[in-house]
This record gives sequence, structure tokens and C-alpha cells, in this order.
Amino acid sequence: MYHCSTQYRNWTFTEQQLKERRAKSNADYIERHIQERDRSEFLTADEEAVLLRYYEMQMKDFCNKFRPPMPKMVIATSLQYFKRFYVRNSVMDYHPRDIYLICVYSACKIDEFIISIIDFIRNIKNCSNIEQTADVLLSYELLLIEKLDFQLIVHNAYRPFEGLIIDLKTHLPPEKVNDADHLRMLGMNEFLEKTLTSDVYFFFPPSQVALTALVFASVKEKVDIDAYIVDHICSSLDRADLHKVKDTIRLIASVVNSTTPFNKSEAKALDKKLEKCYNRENDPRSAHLNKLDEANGY
Amino acid sequence: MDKYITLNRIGEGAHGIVYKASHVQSNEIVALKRVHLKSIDEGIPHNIIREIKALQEIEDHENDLKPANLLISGKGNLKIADFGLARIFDKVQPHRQYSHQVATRWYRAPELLYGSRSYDEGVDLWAIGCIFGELINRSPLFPGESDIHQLCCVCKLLGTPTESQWPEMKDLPDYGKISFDDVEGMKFEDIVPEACKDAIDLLKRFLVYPSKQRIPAHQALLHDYFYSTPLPCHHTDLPIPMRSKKRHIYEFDIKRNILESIVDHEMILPMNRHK
Repeated sequence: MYHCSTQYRNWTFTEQQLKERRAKSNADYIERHIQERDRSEFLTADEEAVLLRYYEMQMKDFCNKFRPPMPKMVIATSLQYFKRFYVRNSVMDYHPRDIYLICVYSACKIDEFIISIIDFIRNIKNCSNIEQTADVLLSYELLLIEKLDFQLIVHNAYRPFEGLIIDLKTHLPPEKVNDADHLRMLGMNEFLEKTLTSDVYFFFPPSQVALTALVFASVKEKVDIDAYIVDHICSSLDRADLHKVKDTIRLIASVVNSTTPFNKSEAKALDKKLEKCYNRENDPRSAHLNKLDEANGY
Repeated sequence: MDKYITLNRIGEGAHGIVYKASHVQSNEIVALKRVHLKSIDEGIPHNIIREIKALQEIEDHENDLKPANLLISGKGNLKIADFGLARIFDKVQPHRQYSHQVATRWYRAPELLYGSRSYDEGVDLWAIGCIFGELINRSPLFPGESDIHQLCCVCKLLGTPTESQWPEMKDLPDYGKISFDDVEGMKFEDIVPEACKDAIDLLKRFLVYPSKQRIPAHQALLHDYFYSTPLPCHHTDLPIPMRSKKRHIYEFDIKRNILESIVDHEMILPMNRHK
């Protein structure tokens, strides 16, 4: 019952609303810290978007290389946590290099992919001090859950997509059943994969995203499933509603394919800018350093 | 913690103590759980995460009262469960298909069918009315086959809602997208012909269009229906459902590998042709 879910009630926006919320998080941070530095030294909302995209890529890469292999559901959940977190918080307030890791760690726990914090950290490249990293990461855990309003269950399109494929198989003639498997692979690898880093789950129900993935795959693979869609998915709809469904599919496809453009050198430059303007008070490492300083009598 | 005043201890489990408390600002009574954190090497314990998830599940599925979610335990206690998306695989008849959407729709309140997002506990009271009627008739009152047909079923029995009867109707998101011919509806005496006068009166109070006018649960419990013969028996005297001898026939499995869960096509196709 997606319509009763917290995802629908609290995390679904119009494009405009989403944009405004992100802009507000950015503006709020600048306003709180304007005494500390010149306005030009802060990241703009657009720059935050580029950086987030950069970290989403790192996050995806981290998940895909994870050992033992991480289930798709966990990856999907982590990315959605990350995106939700930065709707209401500025990149400058909480550094994404930490937040993305705690999003993945929490998603593992929540989606029952049980892994110890030590084994988790072993997957981080160039991590010299495992224990300190564990402390830093875990210090963010409650914060993340709080910022997500304790709404830990998120819905993505993988499950409804599998459901559609099963349903499609029961309606295809026997000699065409293999087609459904091709559509499944294509839809997952080339469409659903892209939904993870897009904003599509802020706008549309996962079931409609799944249907779009199926239609996308059928067009690409040139498998005609029109009869299935008309007779079994949209059979109760009249012409006008059918058009609406088509429009929705088109909209979803365009949202999924229109992610923030960025180039790596630009992102790296912004990462340097962030290094100067991010909120050190929220960085557990600086608290750690302060303690060391105190201990050393500074 | 200073937002709450603890009133008394409710219970203690392996992982913490549960208190009854009152929220200072709203006076609302809540349950607070104080969790022992013995080892926080792995961060927030997994079982706590599961509890938070469970609370969200309850919140997400708060409105799913239907006979399929009502269980009677071996001791005769009624339990409200939620099987959500669990599906049944019948090993004896593997080719039998189960519909994706279990008939939750039949128990959905009209405001939900009109797309309301700001519904209240009235949706549960509507569902209770539907279940009550179904217990009397031994068949569902509103067996809609689609969301629109569902509204049709309701209108056929209760009459098309008029504006004076249900003024909030025209503000519902999907109002105007769907319109029905004016029908008068049936008499409750004909809807549930076997019901006694008190049962009919109680049913009538559940199944009204405006959510706020549905009889609240605590009032329903004081209704004459429960104080006239036959009186409700003590729960220890309830007849206990017979245990099926064919236990373990059903296997609940929602995480099955996709290939395994696919139904054999040779078996389905002849069935589809008969449709």
C-alpha cells in the first residue's frame, strides 16, 4: 500500500518543491555562518548538486565493489537515504564523504545484510585507522536516523519490476518467455540502475517507475509488449487515462535520464572549496583532535 | 526525556524497560522504551533498528483491516495481523494463481476511493462495518472488482452520496473524475436480511459516508447490540477454530528466487484459454 506509506506522505514532492527545499537548506546554512567568511566562499545550491552527484557516483562505486557482494536492494536504500538526508541538510553542514558511508552502513543493517563494522570498514580504500573510522562513522548513525525522521523503509522499483516480469511471463506465449528474461536484464541494468542516482523516487511511485523500466526495455530490445500492457495493465482505463499513463511514462523516463551534468575536475575543485567552508563542529574528527589538543595542554 | 513524565512501568523485555508516559505538551499517553546499550561496537543494535522499522510498518499499513488479516489464535484470541504482500504458494495446486492484490479494496472507505490523503481513524471504522456485515451475511458487502467498481458497489447499497449528506465529498482529489447515476440505495433490512434490529442499527452507524459521523469504537462497544441476547460470551468460552489436519501445506515465502517462483507456463496457459 504505497499510498499509505511515509514515502508517499512525507517524501514525495513536485519538482518545484524539491528545488525550493534544497535551496532552503543551502540558504539556511549560509545565513547561520555568514559571519565566518565571505559569501563567495560558500557553495551555491547548484554547486551542492554537482558535489552530491560526485559523491553518489563514489557511493555507487563503493557499493558495487563491496565484498561480500551487496544486494541491489541495499544499494538502492543507501542512495535514497543519502538523497533524503541532503534534501533537508546542506552539504556544508555534514560532509558527504562521511554521510555516504553511514548511509550504506545503516542500509546494510536495516535491509538485513548483516556485516560487522570492521568488515564494513575493510572495504574503504586507504583506511589507515579502522577503530577511529568506526568511531567516526557510528557517531553519525543516530543523527542519520533522526534526520530521516526514523522512516527507514524506503520503496524502490526493483520489487514491482520483478512482479511485472513474473506477470508478463504468465501472459506471453511459451516460445516468447525468454524475451521476458532479456527485458528483465535490460530493464535492471540500463534503467533501474539509473533511477538510483536520479530524483525519480521523490516524484513518482515505484510501481510506475517499474512500468517505465519495462516499456524502456521493450522498446530497446524491440519486443512488442503492447498487447500485454493494453490488456493486462491498463485494461480498466479509458482513452484519456491511457494517455495520462503514457505521459507519466515519458516524464519518468526523462527524469531518470536527466541527471545533473558534471565533470570530474569541476567536482574536485568544488570538493576543495567544501573543505574550507564545511562545518567542522559537526565533524567528529575535529572533536577528537580537540580532545587530543586538550590532553596535550594546548 | 523532559518532554515526558513517566507514569509507571509497563513491562520489561530482554532489551529494555517499557514505561507508560505522558507527553507534557499534548497530554498524550505514550509508551517509552529505555534500551540497554551493552555493547555499542556495532552502533545502534540491530533489534532496535527492527523495532523502529516495525513501528513504521504499522504506521504505513495502519489502514488494512480485513478478514484476511484477522487471526484467531489457538486460545480463541483475536489478533490483527498484516500479511502485506506475502503470497501463498500452494504446493498441492502449484498452477493456481493468486491475485497480486488481495481484496483490501472491499474494505476501503469511500474517501480513500476518492483519493483522500488526509484521512483519519474513520477508515478503520468503515472497514469494521464491512467486516461486521460480512460476518452476518457470510459474504462481502462490497465486492468491487476495480476501484471504480468498488464505489459503484457502495453506491448501489447505500445510495449515491448527496452533497447535503456528505459536504466534504466535493473537496476530495478524485471527486469529479468519477460520477455515478443517482441511485437510492437499499434498505439495511435487505442488505443484511438475517441481522437483528440492533445489529442493523450498529452496522448503519459504521457505514456512513462522512468519516466523522461514523460511530467511534468506544461508543460502538456500548451499543445495545452488545447488551441484548445473545450476549457476548467470555473470551475463554469462545469456540476455538478447528485445527486443520493438513497443516504445512502452505508455505509462505516472499523472498524466493525469481526463477523458482515462476509458475509453470504449460500449466497456466490452458487455464488462461478457458477465461
